[in-house]
Amino acid sequence: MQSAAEPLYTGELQVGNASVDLLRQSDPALPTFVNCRAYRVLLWTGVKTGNAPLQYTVRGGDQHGWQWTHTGAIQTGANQWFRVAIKMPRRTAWLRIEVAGATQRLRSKIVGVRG
Amino acid sequence: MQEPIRITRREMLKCILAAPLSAVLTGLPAPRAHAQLDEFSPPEWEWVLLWEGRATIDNAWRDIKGNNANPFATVSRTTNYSQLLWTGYKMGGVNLEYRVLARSVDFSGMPLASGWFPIGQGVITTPPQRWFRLMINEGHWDEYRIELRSASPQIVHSRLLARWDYLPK
Repeated sequence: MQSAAEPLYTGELQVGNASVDLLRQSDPALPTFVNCRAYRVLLWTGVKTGNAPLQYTVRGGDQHGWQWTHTGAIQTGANQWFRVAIKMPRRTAWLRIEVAGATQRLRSKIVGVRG
Repeated sequence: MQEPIRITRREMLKCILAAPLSAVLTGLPAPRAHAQLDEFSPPEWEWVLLWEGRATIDNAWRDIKGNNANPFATVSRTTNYSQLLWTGYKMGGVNLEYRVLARSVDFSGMPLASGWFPIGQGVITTPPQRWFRLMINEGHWDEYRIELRSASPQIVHSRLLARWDYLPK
């Protein structure tokens, strides 16, 4: 049986005011994940250490540029679990997930749901 | 003179009911049609049994296995399941409080952080010795813990199923 959900990322990020992606890449042209066309939904779960909200931006596209953008905020308190379900407006090969906010650590996991 | 055929009312009813049905079924390629249906319409999902058993539930929060140590998961490795179905049978007449918790783990199986993400909570108010059912729609978490509490001790039987979605070919 083929897996319906696959872990794409597990890691910890030091968040600051400068917007970086989950791999700490500040260049906005670089993707966080490639070969993502199979995924219908991204499930992003984790814990952030600070009380201040985190702003996130999800972009989808390919080598010709970004085609869609989704923004939001993670509002949970310090050391509380959160879950964000990002439904893809369109299937794209590249995804970039950027985070910015007050200084704190973000430990999170992203699972891609196929189908 | 011919002897009359004696037949009971029940046998007569059997003949009336069975005769037209057998006429319809005769010549119907039932097995072949069934095989074709399987080939072209595979199941879209199936329910997988994760756990089945019972526990005595008291005033402390315990999971459905009876474990009152909050850091321990009731079920693990559940990332692939899109839904959970918890059916149970409570022996006592007292209401049963429940809460469903979930968390994610890293590649080694360690939770990303302490604590749990609350998915849902409620009260089961069915009378004693009756079945209840709860659908957990927030799927694809790595681990779940289903906790129960009862004002007076009672035995609760549980069966936890998980939905595995087949991917389209």
